[in-house]
Amino acid sequence: MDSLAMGHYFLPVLQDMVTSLPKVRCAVLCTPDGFNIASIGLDEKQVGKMAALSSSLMAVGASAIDGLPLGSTEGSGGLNVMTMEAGGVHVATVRIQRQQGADLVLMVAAASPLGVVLHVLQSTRARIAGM
Amino acid sequence: MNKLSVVLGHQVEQQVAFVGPFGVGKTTALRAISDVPVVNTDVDSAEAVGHLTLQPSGKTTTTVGLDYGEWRFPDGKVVALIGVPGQDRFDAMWDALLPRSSAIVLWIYGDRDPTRLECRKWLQALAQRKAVARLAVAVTRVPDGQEQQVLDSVRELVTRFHPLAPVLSADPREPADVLQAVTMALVTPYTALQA
Repeated sequence: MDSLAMGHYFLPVLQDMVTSLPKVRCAVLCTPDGFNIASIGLDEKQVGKMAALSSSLMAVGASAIDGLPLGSTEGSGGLNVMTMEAGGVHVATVRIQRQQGADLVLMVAAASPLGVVLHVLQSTRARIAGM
Repeated sequence: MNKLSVVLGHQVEQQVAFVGPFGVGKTTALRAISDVPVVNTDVDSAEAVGHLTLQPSGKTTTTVGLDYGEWRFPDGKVVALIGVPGQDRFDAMWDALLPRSSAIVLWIYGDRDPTRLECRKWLQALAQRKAVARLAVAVTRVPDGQEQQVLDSVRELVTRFHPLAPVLSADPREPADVLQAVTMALVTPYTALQA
């Protein structure tokens, strides 16, 4: 599937995520090497940049996690979630391993409490993993 | 739910990475041609302040993450432009960013003796990370009257790593020069970088 077809394929799941998250600002689903598949809440000029940055954040975060002395069971499996906060808006990013297909990166920004953001993000991740 | 705009897929067909030593002009070059506002991960540079003899340019910021810009060709195709940090300790970023790129422009200083050393170091770093590449080498600050000599010297070194890479003199502040380097990198045939 090309990126546009993938965008159409995943858009409903992304829309469900955005609908179930109060005070959502934007969401981006992209490839691990930074190409947009579907985004909500960003204009065309911002999308390329945000996809590149989301993927780079995950790559750098994963290296940082791997470099930390976290102990043998703690931190195992590498980076799980990357979270940031700015002025009450939480931004959370995950890498999704799919059963049939290449990995994806999903980022969402919302002014909801962090726990809510993470809960919705993780359940969306589970859905996408099975698609 | 408010009406949030939806964007599907990407128009970016290729990605060009700007690599090269600290202060050579990668971020400057990117800003010279980008059609979109350039992502800024520049921070104040301790190296420029603490080692004035190394950086007579007076450069005071350095890229620690990546620069990101885009340029639209006249036919509508979009190329993503990625600037990587020049300092060695950010080589994790090179690992993350270089494999994604369709082509690479290596920027090097034309006005200093260690030109060949810096150039070789970068060519080796590229070869380690990306076995197959399209490469163009852009040489900055070539002293007046020495263009032939400097470019030939660089070309001789580059061909040992990449037999087909063009070497050109370019000012990263000049959009026409930067675009020429980008397009030359994109049209150079693929070849394996010999480590």
